[in-house]
Amino acid sequence: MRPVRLAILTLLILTASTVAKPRTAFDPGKPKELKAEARGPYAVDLDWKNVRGSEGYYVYRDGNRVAEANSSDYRDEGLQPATTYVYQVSAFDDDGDEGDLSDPVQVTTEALPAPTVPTDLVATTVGPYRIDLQWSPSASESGIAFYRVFRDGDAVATTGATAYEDSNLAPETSYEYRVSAVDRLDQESGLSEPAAAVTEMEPGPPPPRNLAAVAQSAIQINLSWSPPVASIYPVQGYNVYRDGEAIGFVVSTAFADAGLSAETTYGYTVSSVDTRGVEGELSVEVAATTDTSTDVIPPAPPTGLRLVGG
Amino acid sequence: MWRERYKKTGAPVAAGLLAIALIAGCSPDGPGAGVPTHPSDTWSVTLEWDAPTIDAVGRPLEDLSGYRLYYRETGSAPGSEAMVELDSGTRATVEGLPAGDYLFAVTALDNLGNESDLSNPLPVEVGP
Repeated sequence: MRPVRLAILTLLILTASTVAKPRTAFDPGKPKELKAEARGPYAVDLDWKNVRGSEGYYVYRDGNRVAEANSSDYRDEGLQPATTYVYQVSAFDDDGDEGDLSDPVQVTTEALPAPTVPTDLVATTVGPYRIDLQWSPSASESGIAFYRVFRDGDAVATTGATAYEDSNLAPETSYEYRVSAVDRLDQESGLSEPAAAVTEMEPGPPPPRNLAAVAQSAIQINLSWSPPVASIYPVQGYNVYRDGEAIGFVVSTAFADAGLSAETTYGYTVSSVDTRGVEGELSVEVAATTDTSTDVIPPAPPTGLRLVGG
Repeated sequence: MWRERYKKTGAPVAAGLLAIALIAGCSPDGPGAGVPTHPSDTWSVTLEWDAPTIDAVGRPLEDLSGYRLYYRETGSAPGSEAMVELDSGTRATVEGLPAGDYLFAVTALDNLGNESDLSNPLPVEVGP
């Protein structure tokens, strides 16, 4: 009986050890020669050497089990373009016992094409301080995130629209613009063809108000007016016009036009000149008529009265 | 003297003029001045003068507008002289004058109607 009992005990021990240590029971070793290859922007193809005795394989991406494979290859889909992933695989047997993880391999999905370059960029001057831009949209597989606006080579703004209002510019200044497109993967297109525009000159000062012309005598008409209500730049003086011809510049708000003819009507306009020297528009014309002459001095008498012929 | 009175009154030529000896017309081939008109009982006289270029106080004259020609027969009563309004030309012809001795004078006018003193008087013998 004794040898029999020993044999049974031995069997029991062997059996027990088998049950208690399953991983040592399935020990195929880690899968070898794992290869990973990007298949376009959204998938990776995995391939490794078959593990003898395995029922299947587990696929790990970045440390997380993401799939089960029946054969020694696998296509991992639904990935992000231009993204790097780390893969490992392991084998398991029909008891579900898993072997060791393979050595990791690293793979990067393909990038999507960058957006197309924006076209048809047009720059339009809007007054002295603003230029409006518009362009045709770029094509993009991942979608356009925004456009970047360059002014004279410097990125000055981003916008989701295909138009941009560039304000707070300097008057009478030329600006050159280009635009690029940036997609949702942060891929940026090349720069568009340039478009240039020149801001307008700042307007001159408004015309004076309340221009009045009063005859002072037969030869003089007096003008007076009020400064304009508002001007971007201070007004430094006024140009005075008689019948459309400039006859003087004055700093004051009055002008005496002398040397005129008696009983004659003259029309006057006045414009403001600001400290830049820019002249504004003419005022409304006013007219005045010189007084009747008070001259009572007669001509000298004719001389040399003589008979002609006979 | 004559001129002063004339200007003051604006009317008759002074009697002093009557004393001026009339000289026969300057026509070289006739005894009297003037040109016979219709048919031979009246005459015409053409006169010329120099325009003033200054006013009465010596300033440049810029508004000369015309002349007045005065004439009367020598010996006629004051206030009997005739007057002809003229434009700014310096030549004039008086027609329809009966033969006789006449005195002529002109004045200048400006735009405001101021009239100058009389020019030099010109005696003319009109007739055959």
